[in-house]
Amino acid sequence: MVHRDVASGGTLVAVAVAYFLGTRGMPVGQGEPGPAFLPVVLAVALFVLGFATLVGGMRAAQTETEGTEEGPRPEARKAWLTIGLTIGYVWLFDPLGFMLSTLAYTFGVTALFQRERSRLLYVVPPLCTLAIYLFFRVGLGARLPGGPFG
Amino acid sequence: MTLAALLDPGLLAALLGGTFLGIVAGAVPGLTATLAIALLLPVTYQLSATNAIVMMTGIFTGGIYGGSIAAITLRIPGAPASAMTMLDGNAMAMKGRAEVAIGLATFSSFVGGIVGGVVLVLFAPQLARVALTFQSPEMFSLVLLALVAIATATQGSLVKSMAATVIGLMLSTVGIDPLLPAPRFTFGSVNFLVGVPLLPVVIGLFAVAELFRRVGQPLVAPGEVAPIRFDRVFAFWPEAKRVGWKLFGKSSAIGTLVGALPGAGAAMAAFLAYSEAKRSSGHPERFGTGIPEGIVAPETANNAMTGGALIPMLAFGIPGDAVTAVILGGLMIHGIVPGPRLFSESAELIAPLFMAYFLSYFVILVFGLALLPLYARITSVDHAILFPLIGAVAMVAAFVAERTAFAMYLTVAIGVLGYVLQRYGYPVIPVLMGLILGPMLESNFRRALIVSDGDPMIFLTSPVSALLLVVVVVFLAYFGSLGRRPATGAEAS
Repeated sequence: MVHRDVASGGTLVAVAVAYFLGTRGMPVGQGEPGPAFLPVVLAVALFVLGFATLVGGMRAAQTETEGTEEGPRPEARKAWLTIGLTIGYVWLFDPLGFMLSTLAYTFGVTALFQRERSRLLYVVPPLCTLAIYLFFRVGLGARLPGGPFG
Repeated sequence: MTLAALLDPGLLAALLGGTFLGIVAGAVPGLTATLAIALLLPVTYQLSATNAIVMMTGIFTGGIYGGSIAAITLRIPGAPASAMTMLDGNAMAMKGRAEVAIGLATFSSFVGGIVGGVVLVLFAPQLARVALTFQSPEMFSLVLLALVAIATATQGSLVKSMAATVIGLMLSTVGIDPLLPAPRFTFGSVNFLVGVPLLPVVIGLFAVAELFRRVGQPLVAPGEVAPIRFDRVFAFWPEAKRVGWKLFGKSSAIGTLVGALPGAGAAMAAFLAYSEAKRSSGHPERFGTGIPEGIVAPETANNAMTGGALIPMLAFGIPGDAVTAVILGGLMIHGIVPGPRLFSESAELIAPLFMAYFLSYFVILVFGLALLPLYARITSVDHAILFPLIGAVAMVAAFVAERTAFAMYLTVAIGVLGYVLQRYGYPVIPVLMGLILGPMLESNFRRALIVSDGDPMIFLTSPVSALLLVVVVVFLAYFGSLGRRPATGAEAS
């Protein structure tokens, strides 16, 4: 397993290089700093900080004993499932409308949080959806997508 | 306007309703006082000018205070200004002392707000003149100090804190250049032309990232739900007395002065006060572990800021941050035109604002302490009930604020960024501050060099700027010499 500081430091270095390459074509400025000035400074700063983190992680990895290979922890799997659910919620928010998409989303998130199946799974989603509707639509007068039911 | 005018039911309703709505907006993760004021502005059109001004003032002060409730109970700051309160407030709540944490935040908000209001009433014209002396070099140095202060104040690796700050600054470069009509990092998309909007970032970094973080934590059986105990309402008082009036006074002064600077904002006031409290403390390593000073300093400052922020807003029409910008628009709609003669020629419109300002803080104190036991119960609510609600509210709030699906996708993306950063030990508060302060940092730096024909010595020839830069060096040297600081929060888990 790669030490986490090696992974994060390497990622920062890569981001810094990509960000620096993104400054190509930006006006540099004549006499005074132009639009490219701060991005270049930030790219260099992130490169240095990322490199420092990478080196620190490599040193730390040398002093740690090798562990057995592990797959993604269950906790991380649930987090990524929730991320997928949230992206799906956004994708369906307009076509399905607020009510249906929010019901489905809160159902999924409630299921992920529960230790074991209980009545909460059938009570929380409709109550959440209703509460949010009352707050935003009725309380604040905000318009929410109606979906196929208008 | 006299105290008898308070007996007017309409005015009283506007004051109580506005303050309560502001507290709710600040306390609900995903909402902010900015969004609340923007959404409620049309409601104020139905009211008289006086009542509308009173209501908006209540929403403003209530919103700044309300952000601390979610920060303490849920580890999700309701407003950027509450991000520092979250560090020690939530840590104290996790130790079973949520009533003390909320009580301290409420009392500190009251003290800071009243001090800020007194300064506003007595010294507004003079402070406005002092604020005018802050030109580009001074503003650049102050913003740099704020960024360094926040990077050094957060727990964990200094290198990682600074990297997080740089990431926030990088996000702030997206959009049109602040001085020239040149697009940067827009990738040809019109959505990025206006830059990265703040609200989705706040919602994503804290509410959504917190949802991802909590669902991934090992499941634990809920502890016994604490009963609601109204006899604990004043449990904060011994801690407040122990903290001492010196910290209250210093934080109030920082908040009021920072608030008086055009464009500075509540978040900067809170960060500077927290950093100064930590620097001057006899035990800086305990900040972030749930100590009263870590709550008192930022909450006093960000509420003192509300009084200070009204000074440039009313004297020059320059808002301190997004909240005051929306309020300024609302005030102008109702006939208040900012300017030097406002205080002398439009006293009949200013007087209700000042009165409402002071009274709203008494309302905050009463509401805050009366509902304290209920707020404290939030920490006991089953996550299977709380977090689906938080997740859905956050996404709907992002949609309502920006009216685009793009804002919702951006919120999720920032949420993923916040989650990943915290998993690898990077704090997220500096990311937010980098985004907020980046435009000010860059525009003031470049303007200063334009004025000096490219001579960087302008930052040192100004005494105030030079002093601020010296303080930057002191902060870096002091906190750098402390070495690796104990991890807390997500890092520790």
